[in-house]
Amino acid sequence: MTLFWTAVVAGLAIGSIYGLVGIGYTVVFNATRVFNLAQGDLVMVGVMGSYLTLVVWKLPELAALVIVLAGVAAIAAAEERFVVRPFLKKSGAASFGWFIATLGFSAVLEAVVAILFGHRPIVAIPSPFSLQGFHVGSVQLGYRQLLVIGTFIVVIVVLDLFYAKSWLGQAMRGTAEDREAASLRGINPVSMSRTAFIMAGLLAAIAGFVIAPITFSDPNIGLSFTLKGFLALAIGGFGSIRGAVVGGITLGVCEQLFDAYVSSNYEILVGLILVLLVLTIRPEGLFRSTVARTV
Amino acid sequence: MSDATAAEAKGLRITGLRAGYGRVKVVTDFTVAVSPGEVVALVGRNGAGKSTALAAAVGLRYGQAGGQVTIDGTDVSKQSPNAILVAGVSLVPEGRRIFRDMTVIENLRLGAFTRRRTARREIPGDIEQVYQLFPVLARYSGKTTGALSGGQQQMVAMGQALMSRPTYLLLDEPASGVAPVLVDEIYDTIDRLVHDGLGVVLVDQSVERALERSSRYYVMDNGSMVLDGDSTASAVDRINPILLGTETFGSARVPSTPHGSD
Amino acid sequence: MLLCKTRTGRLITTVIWIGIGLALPLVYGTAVQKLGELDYVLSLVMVGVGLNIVLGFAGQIFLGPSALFAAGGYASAVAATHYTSMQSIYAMCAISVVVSVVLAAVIAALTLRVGGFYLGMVTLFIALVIPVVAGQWSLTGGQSRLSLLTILTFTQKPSGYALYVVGVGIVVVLAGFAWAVRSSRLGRRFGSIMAGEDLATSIGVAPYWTKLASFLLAAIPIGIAGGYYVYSQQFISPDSVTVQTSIYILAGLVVGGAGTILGPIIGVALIGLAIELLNRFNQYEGLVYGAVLVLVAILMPTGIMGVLRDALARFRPSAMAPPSLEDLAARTGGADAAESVVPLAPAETETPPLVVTGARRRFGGVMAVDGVDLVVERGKVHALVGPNGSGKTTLLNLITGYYSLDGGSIAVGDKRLDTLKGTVPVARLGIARTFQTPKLNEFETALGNVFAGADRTSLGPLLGTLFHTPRARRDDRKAMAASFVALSDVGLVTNAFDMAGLIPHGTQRLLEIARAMAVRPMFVLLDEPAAGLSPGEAEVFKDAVRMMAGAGLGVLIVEHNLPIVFDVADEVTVLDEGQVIARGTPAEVSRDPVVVRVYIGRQRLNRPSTGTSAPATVAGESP
Repeated sequence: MTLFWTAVVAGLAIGSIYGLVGIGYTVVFNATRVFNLAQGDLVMVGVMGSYLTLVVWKLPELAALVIVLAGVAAIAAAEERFVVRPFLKKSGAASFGWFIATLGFSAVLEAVVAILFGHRPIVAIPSPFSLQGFHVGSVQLGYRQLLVIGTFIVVIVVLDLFYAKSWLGQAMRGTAEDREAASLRGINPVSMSRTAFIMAGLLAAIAGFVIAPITFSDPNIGLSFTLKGFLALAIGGFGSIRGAVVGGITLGVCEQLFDAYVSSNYEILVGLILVLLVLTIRPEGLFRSTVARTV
Repeated sequence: MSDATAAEAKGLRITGLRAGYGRVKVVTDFTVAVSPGEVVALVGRNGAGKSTALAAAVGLRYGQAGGQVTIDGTDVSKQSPNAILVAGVSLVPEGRRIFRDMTVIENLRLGAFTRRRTARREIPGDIEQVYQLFPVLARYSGKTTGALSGGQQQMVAMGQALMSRPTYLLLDEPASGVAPVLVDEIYDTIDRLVHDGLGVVLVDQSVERALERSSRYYVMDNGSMVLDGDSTASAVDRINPILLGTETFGSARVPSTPHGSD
Repeated sequence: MLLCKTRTGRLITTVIWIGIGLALPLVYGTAVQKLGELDYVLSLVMVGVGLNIVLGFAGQIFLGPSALFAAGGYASAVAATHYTSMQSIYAMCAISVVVSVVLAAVIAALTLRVGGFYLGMVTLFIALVIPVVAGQWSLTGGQSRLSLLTILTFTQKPSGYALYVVGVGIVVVLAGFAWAVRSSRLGRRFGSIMAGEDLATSIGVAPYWTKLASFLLAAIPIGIAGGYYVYSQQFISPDSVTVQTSIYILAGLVVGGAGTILGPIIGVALIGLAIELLNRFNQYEGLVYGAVLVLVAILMPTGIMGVLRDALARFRPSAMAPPSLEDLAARTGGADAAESVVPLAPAETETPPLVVTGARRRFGGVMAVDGVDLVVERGKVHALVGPNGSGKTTLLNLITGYYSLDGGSIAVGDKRLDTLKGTVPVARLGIARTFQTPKLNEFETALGNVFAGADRTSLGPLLGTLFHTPRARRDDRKAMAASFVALSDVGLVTNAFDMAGLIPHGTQRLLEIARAMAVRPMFVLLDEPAAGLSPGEAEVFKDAVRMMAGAGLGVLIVEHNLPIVFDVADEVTVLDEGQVIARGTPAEVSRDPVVVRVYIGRQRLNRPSTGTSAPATVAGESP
């Protein structure tokens, strides 16, 4: 059973990252009807930014975190302004041009990072949490893993409060449901789009920062996160935070269990199998949402 | 209908408004005026362009636009919906378009979005006032509006629009989808608000009811105004032929005669 | 290509392009390595031609061409490694095509339930999976490349420049293949699917099978590309068929202009060459194609060919139509041929009417349609009127099969419509419809839109149309002539080559009617056709309706606009709250006090108000 629980814990950790990517998608999609294909690469920028601030510049953790948050949020805001907004004007993202544009932007991000850092994968980003952990029974719980999972939980709680209590959060919920009715109440759809992207940037930065110590920092991971985040939503259902969370955790845990019991080489097939299962049995995902549209 | 020229004349004046969807011209000449404390009715067939005209008047842009909107003399023609709301004009669109996934009180609060910084303290008091106007909402304040009846949803929609403290309220088919008993209640509430100084433009499918509740009326057809006058009992006889089309007519305006020109 | 309208002109430009292709090595370099790079670009171009069929013609966001490319390539490499007979370029391409098509069928079967960006992401993911799997599987050589050079019996022949020429030749053949597809009846169905499923199903085009066909046809050029790639590079490895490859090709398609024949070729070639040239600046290639994607998507989404075509259209409007359509139009003699076409069959005496009996349909808590009877006779115009929420449009959707009945029946003679599944079989049976907002293919000309409907009358085998058999060509000529007839019947012959997205609203409605007529239906259902029509347009519309009835069609008009309706209708049915409250001639109905009150007074005749102050029930009054 040790193997099982170790895999589950690892799965929760990586699933938290998938979930964070998925939430990033969801926040943007609900406000703009655009699926930001650069979300995974924003996480990658967060990872590389963590490397830059912690290893190269040797800043203290808090300062590094603030810089990474601000930096990725700024990039996300720029993306909204220059890459996505031209399509929002066209009657609510009806065209698929944004798909290509955000895909192109993700390639630009990867290329810029590769130019700045080279292609070599970098590991060993320091973390205040040592590599050790503690034992529950015979299962090892790494501090860094717990940090990832804990961060995920905190993010979900904060987002929940945000949407439930704050003016901006409520305005975003309204916009997600009925853009026109929201604008009749004085809610500016462009502000909502921009806020959504900034939130997505912050989420990506957080994800990148907490996962940096335990992952390969390499420009190529961006696309992998992009696709895994999408899979999380495909499994859990588009349009809701809950869907992103459930989908991400499911994917992460299944992958780790597969690694542990079958083979780690073919781990990527897990996502494929899960999504094909979902497509066959319940295409709208485990939690259907009023906002979801698949065709 | 002569245009008021005095800049300080109080009232919402919409003149020659044009609007459409992309390249489709739906509204070619929308002209309506309402003063504080009066109700004007806007009637016409489906597809006449009433909803599009009202939406365009409060700043929702659907492709080609034009014309003028002034509030108490101030030109707000090209402003955003946000600005027009702040200037005091609130639209309640047809179809009870509130936020169905949110509760009654959340919907009402969101109606005050434009006042969230300037008048934060007053908002809870305003919500109380809405509850006094529509007592049934107080009972359901924590309930998701999607679960309410049509009439209750319409009350939420109106309450939401009132939360921005408008001087002029545009009501697009408030009776649609509402049980007759609640329709009367809602209209009585409107009367109270008008008595306190609100100016109302009222769209209603039922000409009789629209005339009962207004002091003046406008008839719209094919995107432009074709008839207007005082809401007397005999007005129905002038309006019916237009709606039923027992006389065909063109899109030229018809000043106070029942026969249209072709 | 599009610059020339004459056959010789087009032949000349084709030859010029081939010449450019053949001469390219002179500019780029003739060393063996350079030719190898050009061969790689050629294989990308081939993939692009294939991707264009599914993405550019049929509008399906399929982002996994590299999956098919990789699968086909690996299959041919493995086959060549183990079997001497499989080492010629033809055999390798053949294997590659077979594997590619099979994989495409599997992917399609699994993913065609979804569309749009969902489909794109899933196929992108599949494109990610394939190289990873190939990298793990020992059969495919694992992480190292699978090299043909290690096979002693393998000789690359043709090679060098000759191989390059073969590659150019393949591209030319595939371009011809793409052209054959696009100008076939099947290709036109792709266009309808891309324009919208509602539109497609209303003219009897089945979305699932059509999309599947587009996947399978696209797999052929991609498969050939895989075989050519392995043969020319003499190895294949997981790194050579990554997801990035799919994205390069997508970029090429967008830059060149998806949906055209030449666009993907030019676009992918440019992107491919740029990538090869930038190879030494390894990191910058991503920057280049990423920036290009963003800029092109925002500034010129129709690509190079699209921009050229738009520019040309200023001087010659008919440039908007694909040359094949114009050709066909010219050959059939256009409007002049109209006379030679047999007009719509007048009503045979025994043709049964469309009979709706006791139709019932509930939505949530509301009976949208509650026991409605209706008969539409052929050769007559029947109007269905009523206030908002009376159930008129719901009834129309029930007849066309968009919704299913909860009770009652809909039949034409002894053929039941309500037992058919979905809208496609109903449309194929001969029920045509128009929509409240006209659903047209905005990227097609008016003539092209009508032609899509006229295709319905061509009965030759679909596959044959790909090969442009004499039968297929005959069918096309007849359909083209019929399209002109339909256009002239609504007075739109002069608009034949206008882009459907740009014509005025009223004209769009008439165009929809022309398309509906071109289908040669038994019945035409018009959904609020008069909205937004100017008085002049309304007159033309009324004439069109009378003409349809005169030609033997049964016409059902759902409308609010009573003056128009009363002018053309033979019979009127009035609905309120899902029930029939009056029926008769226009004169009878307009004098009926019940109808007047319903329209003017909004009395609820069938649901007396309770008048109590009990809490209202939930969802009881929504229309």
